Amino acid sequence: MTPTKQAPSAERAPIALDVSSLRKEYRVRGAGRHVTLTAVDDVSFQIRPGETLALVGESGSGKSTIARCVTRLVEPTAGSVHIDGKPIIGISARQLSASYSDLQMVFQDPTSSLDPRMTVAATLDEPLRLHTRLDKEGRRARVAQLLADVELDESYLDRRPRQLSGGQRQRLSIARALAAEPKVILLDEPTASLDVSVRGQIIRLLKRLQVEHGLAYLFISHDLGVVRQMSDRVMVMYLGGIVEQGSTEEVFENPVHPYTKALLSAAPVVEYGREHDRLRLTGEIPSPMKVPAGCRLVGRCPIAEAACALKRPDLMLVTETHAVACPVSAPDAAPVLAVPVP
Amino acid sequence: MSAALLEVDGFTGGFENQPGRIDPVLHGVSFSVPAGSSTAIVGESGSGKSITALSIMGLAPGRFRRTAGSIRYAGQDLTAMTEPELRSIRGREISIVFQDARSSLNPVFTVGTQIADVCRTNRGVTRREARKLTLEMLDLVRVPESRRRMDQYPHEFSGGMAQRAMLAMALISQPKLLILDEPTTGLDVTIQADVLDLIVDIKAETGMTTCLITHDLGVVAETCDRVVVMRGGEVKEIGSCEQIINAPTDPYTQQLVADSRMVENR
Repeated sequence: MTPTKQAPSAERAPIALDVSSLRKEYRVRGAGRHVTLTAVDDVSFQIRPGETLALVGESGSGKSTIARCVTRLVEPTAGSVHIDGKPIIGISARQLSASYSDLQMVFQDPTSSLDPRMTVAATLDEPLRLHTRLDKEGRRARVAQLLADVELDESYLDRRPRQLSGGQRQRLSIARALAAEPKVILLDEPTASLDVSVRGQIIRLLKRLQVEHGLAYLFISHDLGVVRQMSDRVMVMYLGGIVEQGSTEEVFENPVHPYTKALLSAAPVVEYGREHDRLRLTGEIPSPMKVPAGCRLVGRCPIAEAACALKRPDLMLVTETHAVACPVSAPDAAPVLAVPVP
Repeated sequence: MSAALLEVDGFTGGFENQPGRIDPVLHGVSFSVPAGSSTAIVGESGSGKSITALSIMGLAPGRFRRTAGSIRYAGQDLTAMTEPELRSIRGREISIVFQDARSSLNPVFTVGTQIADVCRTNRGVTRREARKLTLEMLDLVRVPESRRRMDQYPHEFSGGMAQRAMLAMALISQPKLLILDEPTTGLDVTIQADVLDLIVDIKAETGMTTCLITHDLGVVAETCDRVVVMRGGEVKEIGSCEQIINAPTDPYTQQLVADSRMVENR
């Protein structure tokens, strides 16, 4: 079986974020000598305008490293990242800062990602001075519009972050990200620090803004409930590699990979007397310095066969849009290099 | 209903942020924890759930002032006790497990040493017996390779394993009441599920009473039989887990259940 590459379809919307064969290795000292830790192992994905792709995984899965590589907060070891066709990797710092007008970020904790000394007005004015040519009047009008976009009124203009609630701070972070009129927003656990009542409001806000501005979201989260609400497609990661990806519907309703099944069945549900049908993995996630040579889940997997320890499984298509890296779960599926973007 | 092991009655208090002025945070909080129950105190940030739990342990911050009400444990008023009296109950009759286990452990001593210290203080055993007991406790909380792991330092423990170690420490004195303050918040979901299973199993084996403080109704639904809903320093609703999840009567509880369902995995 040879992997087949899908032909790109010309008539579809352009790709907003294109990540290809991304790899990040760290040289670390383990047991007295240098070893290579592969935090992200050959990951590729694409996101279209108006679409949300969720990266799901537990600690050590590599999802945050992908976020840092995509935004070039760390330099990837190999691979390419393109925003709207323009490269992010291998360009100068000056070119990169211009590219940030197309790529913005919203982080988990707005308390630490906002400058405590800057007022709401100053926080929103800064990206406008950096990324637009608006004059003072124009910027003032745009700040008012950004506030309205995130459902805050102008009475907040002179407040500082500590005078805002957690939800209001996250709205401000979102407005700041919108200021540059980006094509892609990277959302790194944007609701993890919020109460459940506020969480719903922020999700609704993000979805509305996505439609209005045609934004592509790369959504990083460990909260499966929020992922299900937010995303069109899901990529499940484990120890630096993709184990399963597909439409949100497919991954949640018909998970194939044992890790995905374990992850989904472990999430608590607000339902009294639920019959527990949990798929359990044995042991703990190994150290990223001791990733098994074959399938990464070997040693914890309830359905592993002898061959699993020998060869790293390829992604294989179970439907046109659903791929899984587990030959035991999907024996008839065909291997692919990349899953076609719907 | 069985007799209440713990009874919080009209508990009211606030923070003395400036001398002589108390900013109220708890307004007449009343609920009971029946013996043998697994009671949850659920609320969002600022609901007063944690300060209530800390007050039960006599561990509320120094600037917290009780202005009215009582907390009775097995008939004794904890709020009227002196520190030495409280110490004879805290960690012996009532134990607590906090959210961030790794910061609850001392980084410069091995995990085994820290558990053994608690054994010697609470059970008055010899050093050798303490080590044996430590091993038994680590096995009880299903820490694999307990003999090797007891000589490791906290930084060598994952979050889930550290929480198991804290649980072991809390269980040494065979407490009648175990307070769990967000015990799985910050853990990965598969690890959270393992720790919750462990708590449920140990409770079934020992028959101890648990009081779980959490913001997560999903965790409540899977582990508790009674629920106290708090908001803004007040108790909004008390009921069986089934009633709170399936037929909440208070508008806030209804909203909380609806919001939790909206963002959950189904």
